[in-house]
Amino acid sequence: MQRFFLASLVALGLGLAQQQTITLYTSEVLTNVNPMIELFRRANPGVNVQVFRSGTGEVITRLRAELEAGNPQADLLWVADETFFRELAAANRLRPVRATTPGFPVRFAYQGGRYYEVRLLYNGIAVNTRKLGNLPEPRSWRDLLKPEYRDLVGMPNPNFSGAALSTLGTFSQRFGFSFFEQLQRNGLKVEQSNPILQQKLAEGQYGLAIITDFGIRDLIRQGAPLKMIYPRDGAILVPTPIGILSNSRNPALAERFLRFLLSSEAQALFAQQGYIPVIASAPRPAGVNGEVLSVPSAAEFIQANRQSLLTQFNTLFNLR
Amino acid sequence: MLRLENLTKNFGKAGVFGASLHLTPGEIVAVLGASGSGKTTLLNLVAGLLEPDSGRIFLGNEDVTRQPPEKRGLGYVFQDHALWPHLSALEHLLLVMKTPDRAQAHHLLERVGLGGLEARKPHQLSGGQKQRVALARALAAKPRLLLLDEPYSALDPVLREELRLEVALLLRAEQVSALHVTHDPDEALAVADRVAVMEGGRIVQVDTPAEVYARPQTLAAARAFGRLNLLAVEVQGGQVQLGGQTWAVHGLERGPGLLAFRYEDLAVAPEGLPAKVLAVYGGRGERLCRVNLGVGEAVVKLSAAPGEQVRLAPLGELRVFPLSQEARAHEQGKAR
Amino acid sequence: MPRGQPLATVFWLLLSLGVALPLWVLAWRGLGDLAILPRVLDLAGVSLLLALLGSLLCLGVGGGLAWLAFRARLHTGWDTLLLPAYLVPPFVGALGFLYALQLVNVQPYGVGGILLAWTAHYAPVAYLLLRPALESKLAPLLLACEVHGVTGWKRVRALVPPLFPALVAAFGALYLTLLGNFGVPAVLGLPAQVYTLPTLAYARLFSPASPDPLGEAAAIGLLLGLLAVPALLLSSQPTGEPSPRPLRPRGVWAARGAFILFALLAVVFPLVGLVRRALFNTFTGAFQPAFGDAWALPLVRQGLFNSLLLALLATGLLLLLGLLLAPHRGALKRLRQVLDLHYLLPGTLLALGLILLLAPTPVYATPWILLLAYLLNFAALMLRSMEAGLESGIERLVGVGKLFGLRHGRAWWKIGFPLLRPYLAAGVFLVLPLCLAELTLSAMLYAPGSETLGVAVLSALNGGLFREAAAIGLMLMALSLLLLWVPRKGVVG
Repeated sequence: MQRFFLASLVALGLGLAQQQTITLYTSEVLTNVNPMIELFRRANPGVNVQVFRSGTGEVITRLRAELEAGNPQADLLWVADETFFRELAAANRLRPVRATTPGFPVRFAYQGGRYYEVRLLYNGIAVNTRKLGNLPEPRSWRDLLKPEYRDLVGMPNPNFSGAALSTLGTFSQRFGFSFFEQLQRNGLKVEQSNPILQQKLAEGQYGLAIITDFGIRDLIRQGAPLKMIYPRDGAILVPTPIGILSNSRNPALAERFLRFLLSSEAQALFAQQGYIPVIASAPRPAGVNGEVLSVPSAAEFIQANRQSLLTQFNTLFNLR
Repeated sequence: MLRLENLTKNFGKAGVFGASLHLTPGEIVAVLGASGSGKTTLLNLVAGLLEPDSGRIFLGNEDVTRQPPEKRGLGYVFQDHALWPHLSALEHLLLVMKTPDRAQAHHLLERVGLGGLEARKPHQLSGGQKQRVALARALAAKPRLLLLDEPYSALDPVLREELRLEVALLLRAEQVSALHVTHDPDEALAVADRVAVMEGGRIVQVDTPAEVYARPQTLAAARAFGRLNLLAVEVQGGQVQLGGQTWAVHGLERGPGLLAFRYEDLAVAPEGLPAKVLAVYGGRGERLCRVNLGVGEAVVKLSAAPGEQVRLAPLGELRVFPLSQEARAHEQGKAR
Repeated sequence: MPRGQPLATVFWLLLSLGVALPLWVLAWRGLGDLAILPRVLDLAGVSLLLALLGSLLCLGVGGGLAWLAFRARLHTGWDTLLLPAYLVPPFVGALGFLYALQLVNVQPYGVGGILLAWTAHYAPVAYLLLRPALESKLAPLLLACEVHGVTGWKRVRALVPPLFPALVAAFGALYLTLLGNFGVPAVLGLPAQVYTLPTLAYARLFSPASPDPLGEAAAIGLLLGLLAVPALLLSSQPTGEPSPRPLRPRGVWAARGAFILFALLAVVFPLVGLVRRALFNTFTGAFQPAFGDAWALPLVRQGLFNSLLLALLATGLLLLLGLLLAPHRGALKRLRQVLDLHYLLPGTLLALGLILLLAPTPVYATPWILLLAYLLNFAALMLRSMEAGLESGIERLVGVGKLFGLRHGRAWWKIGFPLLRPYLAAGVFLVLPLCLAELTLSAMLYAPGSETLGVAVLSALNGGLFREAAAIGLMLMALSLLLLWVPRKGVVG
């Protein structure tokens, strides 16, 4: 018995030491990030990418605590909250990478290449066509306030989901926070995360959801009775950047991973997974034609009002 | 073989106090006393399961007082057998033998009547068989001294009598010294060369069983063998007056005392003390009568019918224990 | 001995302080953030009420089953129907109920679902705690009642009071367990914003809306500890040996029916939910097992590896500790009393304490911090089971061996350890499944590379991978049920 324990200890130690490892903290859904890592590893044999995956809020809180304790574990951060990247960049905690990929729009290499947008993600309205039945589909955000959609709408928790935080900030700036109060009166419910909400939407527990687009396309592929609608007044472009922490233990490998995400094979995989690639020449996901009519996420507003926005929202929906 | 010098272990209420005892090689000494008199404590001190507060223990010429049990080379037969539930009878013997010898172990098991049961584990054995395993184990260890703690108390009377005679024979044949704790006087009489009577943690008398029975030195020694009548009397000039009779006594010259006599110490005599037979017991091979002596009741070995009037007189000079001694012992008991 | 005593006292004092260090740190940090408490007092109330209600339900159902079995003189073989519900990790059971209730169109989230999952899992514990008490305490009394014709209300008055100590002890144990339970409210409460203190501490720890997540979680941990303390005082009662009594069986079919019904509701029903989810496409209903997809998640393979490694290591080390300490019962008992703290108090406190204590060290974010947490959390359980063995007279039998001249080591090797074996096995099969399906500690302490199976299920669930979660849940269930054939003896968790 004892010998077995020792042997497994040694094996574990060796296993960890032998491989070149980087750690990725991300809010990317596992079923999407895993194939991406597989693809990366096929091109870079012998490397290991460890993933800590949770909602944006959790990932950030965790990293923040680790930074505070002086023991950060992440080499790469990839979450849907640009404001946190701004914060890190201002504190000089991000390592700049020179943009060299041809066809990459420079505006997506933020802050002089301290963090990058690698594919585009939009918040729109997803519809369960079966649940909605004969009701008309919404065409703009404000349609969600119509009484016929009462108790049918859900959105993810902005404490947890970076995309939902974008929704919260952008609408608060654009329509005022009262928009959420009206939604709440119309029976809006809050779910933990985008993936959970999209599952429940697909199962018919909701008829409509303010939600990220890529997962809906994935579920449609699986046979769910869903449809993604980009509202006339503009889907929200949710920044989900990736950056390298300046105290990364393996910055070279981390940089290789970042550049890989911009490669044509990675961009093609993004499209397959339902994302819109950042590089224009890359293929488009099934069911997306042309440009998505979008508005940018209200990053400055969110950065300035993050705490009060969340507190207001939590009070309104009795979240803790 | 074993020498105890002034051994004391104080538990507060109970314990052993200043016990001294000497066993010659091959001798079997029974430690007799009521429950709580310190018998088992004495045994555990000898075994090394307890450490004495003061006093010394010698095995042969070796002072073993501070030795751990495993160094003392003893055998112990426990009241509840204390067999090892996971070992067979044979394994019990092999484990305690200094050089495991299967042939010898088999032989020993034969000797105690367990032939053919070598492979049985304790739960597959009857009470008597378990006690035999316990005994064989103790003998297999080739102990310098064997300790027996009420070894037969869990057995039925028939088995008990049978086994204790067998064991006494076996011990004598093997020339093993033994300290045998019991509260059963019959057992002490049956197995022991000498008896040590304990009371309140003290050894009050050590002598042959016959001597202790016939001439107990203390009330406790007298009580230890049972079959005892006690009558409160007033002694004057070495005599007591009972219902107009004058009996000469020893043990007390004057003052209040307890007249002590065995069931067989009184016999029918034409000039004796008038007594009325209250009840008759058909005892084991003898008839005992509860009689009213006028000054109190007593049990007497007698052939008579209930209601019959008889006259009784002592066969020899009876013993009186001074009351003060009893009272003092009582006080001491309380003080502890 | 008396010479060494001051030294020994100092040693034990230091050890106790050391073992309790995570809690000290937690208290220190938590006291700085007490300001959050007024805002979470209502949740403390919810936690308290849920734990009380859940304990009563478990006691009612488990006690009822014990009573029926006792009256029917049901053979202990029937326990096999109750044990699976207890062996399946609570959060897997919760997952099963989640899916099963959705199948029959009942809202699974919230208080009702939590209580249902708790009762299914912990009623067998109440049964295992109460049945021996009924046999040893009530059998002779009931026989006396029957012989003397005591019936009706008088019989209740004669039978219930002697049972109180056992009931109170069982209630205390259940309350502590439910108060600290994280898995069930995490699966069935969090998604519907129904919080208990352990899930709230978890939520705050990862909440971006909080200015000091760790401090607030610590303060909530303190509150949780406060709610646990009164139950610590309800010490467990020795039940005594059951003595066979010539009681006539009553209501045999009712008892059997109740056992079967319980097994159907507590095991088969959630199992159906899991199987249905794992095997069939939720939208199209096509047969499409999710096991392959689940297995393809690196998280799952990593989790399985870590959980197995941690469970084997923790169990092995605790076994070793127990064996080393077995010959020193006093030390064993004292160490167990010190470690009881981490066993009895909610695991959330230990996890937070360890984060506070070890976050700046290299141990943090490795599996070793989890190993440490498991060792601290489950040591008392192993040592208790060892103590039960020693209390059954094994020490004396070793002493007898020494009396016959066996050296200390040999006496333990040939007599003590073999006799302890069933108790060791009991300890192993208490600790091993708990480690294997651990969630409370690992949910807070895991890091990339040190995920456990429990974390894998929770992550899959939070990531919307419902079918994969069902598949992992089924795997965990199968793994846990392997332990069904293992003979159990002594203590129950």
